[in-house]
Amino acid sequence: MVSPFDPDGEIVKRGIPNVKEKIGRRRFMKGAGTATAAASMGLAGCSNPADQGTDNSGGGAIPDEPLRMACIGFTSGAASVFGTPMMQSARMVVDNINENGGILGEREIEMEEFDENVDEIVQQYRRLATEEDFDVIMGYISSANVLSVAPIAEELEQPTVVWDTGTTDLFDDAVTDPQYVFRTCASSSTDAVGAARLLQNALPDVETVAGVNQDYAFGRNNWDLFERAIESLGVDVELVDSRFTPFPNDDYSSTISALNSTDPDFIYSSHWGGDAVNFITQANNQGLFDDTIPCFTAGSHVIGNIPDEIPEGIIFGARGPHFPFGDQQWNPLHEEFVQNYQDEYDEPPYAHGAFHAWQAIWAYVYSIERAYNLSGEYPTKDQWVTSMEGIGFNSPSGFVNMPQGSHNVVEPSFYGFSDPQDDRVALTDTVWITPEYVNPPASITTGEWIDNL
Amino acid sequence: MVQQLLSEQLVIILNGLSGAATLFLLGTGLSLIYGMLNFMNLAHAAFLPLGAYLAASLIQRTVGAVGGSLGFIGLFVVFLVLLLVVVPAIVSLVGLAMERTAFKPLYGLEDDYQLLATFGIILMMEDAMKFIWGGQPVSATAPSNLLGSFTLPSGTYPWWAVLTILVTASVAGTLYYFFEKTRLGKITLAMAEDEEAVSFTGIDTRSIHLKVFVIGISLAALGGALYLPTASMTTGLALEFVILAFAVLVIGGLGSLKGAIAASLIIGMVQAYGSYYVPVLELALVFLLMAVIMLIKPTGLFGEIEA
Repeated sequence: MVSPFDPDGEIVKRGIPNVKEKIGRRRFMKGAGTATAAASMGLAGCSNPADQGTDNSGGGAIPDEPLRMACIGFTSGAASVFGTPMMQSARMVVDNINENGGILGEREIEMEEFDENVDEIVQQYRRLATEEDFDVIMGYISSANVLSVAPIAEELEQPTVVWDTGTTDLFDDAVTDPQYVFRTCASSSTDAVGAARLLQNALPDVETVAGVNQDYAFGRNNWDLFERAIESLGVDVELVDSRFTPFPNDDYSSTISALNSTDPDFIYSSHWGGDAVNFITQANNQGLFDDTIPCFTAGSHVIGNIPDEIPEGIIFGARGPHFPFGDQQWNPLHEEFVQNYQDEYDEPPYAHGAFHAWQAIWAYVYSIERAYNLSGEYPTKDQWVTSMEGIGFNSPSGFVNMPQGSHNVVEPSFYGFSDPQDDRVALTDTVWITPEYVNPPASITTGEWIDNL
Repeated sequence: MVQQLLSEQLVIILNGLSGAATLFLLGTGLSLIYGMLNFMNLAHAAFLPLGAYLAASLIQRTVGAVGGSLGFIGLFVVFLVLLLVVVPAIVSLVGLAMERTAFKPLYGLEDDYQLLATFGIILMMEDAMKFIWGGQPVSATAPSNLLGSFTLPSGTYPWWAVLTILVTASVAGTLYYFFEKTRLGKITLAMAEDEEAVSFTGIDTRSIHLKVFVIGISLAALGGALYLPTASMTTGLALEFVILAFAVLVIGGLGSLKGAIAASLIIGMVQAYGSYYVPVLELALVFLLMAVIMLIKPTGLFGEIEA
């Protein structure tokens, strides 16, 4: 069963996200807490920091020594299919900033890369924060890892930008009163609530739904949120099966056979990395997608890994509006980023982490520049925190903002059907849902919000 | 309803058998090398991904070079030759070179040192494969796509998995015949019992060592070549395969061909039924089984060598 999207109502939109320059600025002025941040530094009159990046209007001394930035992601193991493009993007962004003189046009960034594929993730973090004395630690793809590390970051008062992990437990449970930890991408709420709203508004023919997710923090969290959102929204579907597969895993034959026997109309899956590659390859072989619409909320990077294995009509989300090709080639930054990445690495940035790396590094740089331009001094650690709270800027994926009172960026939910073309796989019939409908307000936890939708 | 149920059971059994096939091809080599050579070679598991990566490169190049010009039968034969003959042959040569350089110095050491050293070698082999083929998943599904699938009431099933089962069954039969009926096979078994006595008869035991080693490596490579068309290779899988190969060894018994066959079938079926009916326990079931076997019969189902 492949039915076209038929969006109606107010919240599910077709085509390009509503994130053009003008709207982005207005939303920033309205909701991103500029006034609060400026007032706290004794100044007023801030605008989008993206416009202030090279202004240098602060006038105070800028440190001579380079800024030391640690970047952590999977550069080995099965998850490197995702981490490698992410790290490549980070490298490209930092090189670009340094070619223009660095932060504020003067302070270069010294980036060091670390593999997330280590057993002692907490010890690694402690070492980077204390012995190696990094100014900022950017990192984490695995939700399980960030849940271990985030409380340590707060304990050590170490500026930390979580660039990609999805679990909502990060700020709902592990660190409920964050100070030094920020996440510059949206949480799994975007994927799970987005998919539930997609079913409700755009796929009315779907009657039966199954889930297949990886058996660890991210997969469990995703399915829990999706299940609760379906119930809370009163979506008229029956959940016929929910499966959790070992992480990582290479043999999905029995899982696929089981899903084939329940024959759901729609499958929700947050699989990613090598697991997603194997699951999709084997599901194709076993005909699982013949009469089922699969929805991969975080697996669009597999398109870059196995383009020949991607049939038409699979729904891919990209944890926000991050996808190189399709209807969403809507903003000059997007086109520039995709082109630069393609030129540099001879492949497109299908992994949404590549976009998330851009967001994380620029969020940090913009927040430093914003604080400097407002206060006239290079910010201390705590001034940086104040500047990060409420940051908002244009990115390759549209306007990114961190609502005041939250340490978590919100992004729209974004889904589309795979559309194999001659030289690429694009997303077509794209659907996007505005951030307010897929992310909780800053004041309550994701679970509480979802249960009261 | 009954038809649906039977179809489901058939699919689970086929899943179990195809999983068992990969395990058998991997575990047998490890078991033979330990049983006959008294060498605990963890790095053995890395020859499976090596076979798979090599198969991917060869398939991709073949498809690029001949495309559809050969027709169904021509292309199928080419794939079979590549996967069943060329890949095991090339990987065996790599194995042989490694035997002379990396493994030979380890033969006289205690098991613990062999374990540590060969674990180091597996990590180096993993990195070497990552260096050559990159960190991204490598897949080449052309052989499986060529054969297609057959339809059952509970879904479709790939013919390639059936072919994998049949090829492995004939390999198992051939090995059984080799050890039970041929002179070389009997000498090999005798060497496992008392190598010194065999060498007194004037037989070149070193050459037999090498033959057993090469058979083991080529079986692992064959396992990788047959595995690839239905999955993809990513770095890190070698370490996963080590654990499963060990499970075959522990459950079946060290150095026993019958044990390797039985253990592979048991593990394959436990995994297939486990992931179908109780997915939460999929991983735990294999280890639970290992623990139970070790408690009841520490030498494994068919093993006589003390672990």
